[in-house]
Amino acid sequence: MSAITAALPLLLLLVPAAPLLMAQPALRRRLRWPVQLALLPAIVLLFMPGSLSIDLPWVLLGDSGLAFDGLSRWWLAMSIVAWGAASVLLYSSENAKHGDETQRSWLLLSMAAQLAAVLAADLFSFFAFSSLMGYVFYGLLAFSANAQLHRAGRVYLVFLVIADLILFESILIVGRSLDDFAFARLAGDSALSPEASLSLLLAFFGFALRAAIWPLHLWLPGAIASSRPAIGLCIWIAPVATGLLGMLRWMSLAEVASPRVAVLLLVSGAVAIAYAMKRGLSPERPQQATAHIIIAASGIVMLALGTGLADAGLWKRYAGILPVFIVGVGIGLTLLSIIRAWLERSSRHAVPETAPVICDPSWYERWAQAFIQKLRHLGLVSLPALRTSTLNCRDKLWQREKWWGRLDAGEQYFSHWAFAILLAVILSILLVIVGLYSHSA
Amino acid sequence: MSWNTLLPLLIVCSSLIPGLVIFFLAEERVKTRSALNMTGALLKAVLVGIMLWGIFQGQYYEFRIVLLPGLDLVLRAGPLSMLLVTLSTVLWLVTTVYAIGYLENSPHRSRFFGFFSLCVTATVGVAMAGNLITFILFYELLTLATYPLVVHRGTEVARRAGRNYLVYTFAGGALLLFSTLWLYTLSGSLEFTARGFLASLSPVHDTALVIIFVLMIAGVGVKAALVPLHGWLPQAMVAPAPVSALLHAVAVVKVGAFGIVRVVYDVYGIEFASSLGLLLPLAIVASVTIIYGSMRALFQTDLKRMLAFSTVSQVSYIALGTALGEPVAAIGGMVHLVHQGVQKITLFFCAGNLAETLGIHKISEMRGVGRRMPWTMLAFSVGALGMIGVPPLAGFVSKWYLASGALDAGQGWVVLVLAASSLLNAAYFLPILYIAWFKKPPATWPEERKFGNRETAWALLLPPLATALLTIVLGLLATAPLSPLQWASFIVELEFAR
Repeated sequence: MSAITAALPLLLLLVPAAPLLMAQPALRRRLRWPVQLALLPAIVLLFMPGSLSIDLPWVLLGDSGLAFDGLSRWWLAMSIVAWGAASVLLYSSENAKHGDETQRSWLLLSMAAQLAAVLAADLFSFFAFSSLMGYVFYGLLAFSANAQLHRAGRVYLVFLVIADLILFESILIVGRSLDDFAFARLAGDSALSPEASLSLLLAFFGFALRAAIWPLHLWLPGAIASSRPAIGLCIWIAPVATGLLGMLRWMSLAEVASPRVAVLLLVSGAVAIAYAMKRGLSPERPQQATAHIIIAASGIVMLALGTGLADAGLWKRYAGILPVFIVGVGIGLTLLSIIRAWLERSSRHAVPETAPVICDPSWYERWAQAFIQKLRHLGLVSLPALRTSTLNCRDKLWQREKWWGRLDAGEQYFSHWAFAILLAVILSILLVIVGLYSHSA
Repeated sequence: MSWNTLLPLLIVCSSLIPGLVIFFLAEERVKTRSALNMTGALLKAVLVGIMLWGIFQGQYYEFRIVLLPGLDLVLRAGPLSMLLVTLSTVLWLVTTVYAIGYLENSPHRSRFFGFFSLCVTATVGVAMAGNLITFILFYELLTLATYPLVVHRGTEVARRAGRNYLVYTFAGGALLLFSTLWLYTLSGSLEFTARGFLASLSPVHDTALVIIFVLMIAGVGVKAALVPLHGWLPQAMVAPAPVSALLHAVAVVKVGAFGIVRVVYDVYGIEFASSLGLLLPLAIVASVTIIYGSMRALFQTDLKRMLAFSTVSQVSYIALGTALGEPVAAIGGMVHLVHQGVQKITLFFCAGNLAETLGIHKISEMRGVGRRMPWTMLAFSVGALGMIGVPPLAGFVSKWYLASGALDAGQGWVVLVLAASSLLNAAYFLPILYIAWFKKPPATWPEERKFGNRETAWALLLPPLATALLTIVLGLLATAPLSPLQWASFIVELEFAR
């Protein structure tokens, strides 16, 4: 019995390992319901009482680990439901196609990374697994034949790269004053401030890019509207919900963070809810309703986090409600996806895989056009003309071929040894002068 | 002569002797040549393993013979030298396997493998050099050994690239020799010493020491491909893929970067170099090279040229880490010496596979190649994501230490340079992965060679998979005992000890 208890933490390793193994086509072909089988360790873990943790001392930069606490239990439950439903919707027998095998690999890899991120016990592990999940999830989006989804996926990838850089800087800043990156030990560290505010702001911005939180949601409506309901569900559980989990994890820094971050979150949350309600209730765009539900839910999370930053006591009392809310949204979206899939199967609202969905111009383009039209109406033409010429100038500058030509011409000189050596001599003389000047200074 | 004296010499000779024998083998003696190559590589690996074990037990290894009065040839095994020796040995082993497969049925294999072995001999000699004279000797031997590899194909383009390469590297060697002789007249010593040996010199020599430093860095900077002395590197891509892999990951550029580390740490010492105001200009040159290399890579259409410019950028991370003059950054620079080598060799192996199996040389020709050669592209993807710095791969670990060290040194602008470089890396690597995995492949591949049910020959497939796995392990288990990170930390502890 004691041996079983001692071995229980290994279950934490099995949870991401199972889908990783199932991602191998050779192994998967021999099994029925491989995706569901991959979720078995997670299901067993979900019903384990208490918390579990395992230290991985040599992993990443040391002191890494996986842990199963109250927060990860909620996320694990939502993940099991969402991934399970998505796999049934995608791979039920009448839908299974040969090409879906590759898609199944991408789905399983995304699942493995997402489950590892849910169980991450420290900043580094969470960052590492959620980054991996992001890149692998892009594979799931790009696999589709839908051009609109491809386009949304490309925007998502750009946002992901930028988000990773920002999150890297966030951990870098806060890491200088930390001995231990474990989430459990972040809270209440009085040595953090004033760097904690900047780190928290960067972290929220990074997660907002990943989780498509307004106004950084550009890719989300197009992706959800042009994908099958199951993929829409995967979009929720992978980038969005994991991003929200990251924000909740980083809130451990909130006790010593600046109230100005709170104001930003409150404003962002309120506007996101208003935007989602306005756009989501519009009858011409039923396919984007799911996206706007997600945006509204994210807005509510922003409001809650902002309130928590503004009033730490309130956060301590009511923080436990937020995971329940997010999980509730997740379950609701799962049901919605099932209903959508059933309706599509009935061919009344079928969205062909390759049918393009025309997305409206983005909000800033609409506002800019409205502003320009207003100025024209008032007879102020010089500003619109200035804008037009600036855009023309930008387009000329952005002609890649010209830049390629210029850089190529420059590189031709470097490949001539005489020029390179002459330049090196001039540079050396300059460096000697700079060195001597610094030394005398 | 004791074992501790003999072992450094044996390690150098373990590739020298097979190389010399291979020169005299007839072209048809394929099995003999392969056996000699593999024996040399495995023997070197065993000897290096023995030496590493001995160092952990506190043994001291040095081989010394008198070249001229007052000038000795010294081969010494220290923590810093063992870092490069181990990297060279491991990567030479996989490159040997790869080269045997790549050059199957090619002409002039005896000549190729002869110089191949000499190249590794020179690299190991540079790594274990105990003084500047030994360093220069093996440094120039490396130039002579690699020239025939660059011009191996014998075409006019290859010969022109080889000529350029010779001019650049001999110019660098001449600068290095001149500055070394000048230094000898001032200091009377050329022995590498932890924390340098010049701080005790009179301040009247400071001006001369500044000039000597610049000349030395320019001398080793040619091989390290620091801008503007990088022009030879993209041209050298005409060489066969094993040569490109060797040049860019194991031998030439690593030796150049290693030279910068030696000059800063074991000739000048970090504190003395900083007091002379030499580190900030070096950091600026390294940063400019990082950004320039990445910008150039972004606009390349040829896969190997893109990887060449990526090397120009990535190798300067080592110089940058050294120039920041701070322990954490130094760890980042040194560990990047290993990580960049493993990642870059993976990419070059994969580029060679694509060229050899499907005749692919341009990035645009890689449409859908992930479906035709999934394992090769998987290895390429791991190498590419590692270069971008995606955790938990090896590249992330080095970038973390470099960025942390930059903040500790009060050089926050370096973090912006690293961020910009990562963005540029993503900009030129991610489109390749997209094209390879998600675009439809052509109906037929030009110059396609069939290998039965396999995507390519085993000798071409296994090495990149092995190095890709190493990329994952070096990142995921970065803090495991005996990892390159731990080793780099140990080296820095010695160099920065007060």
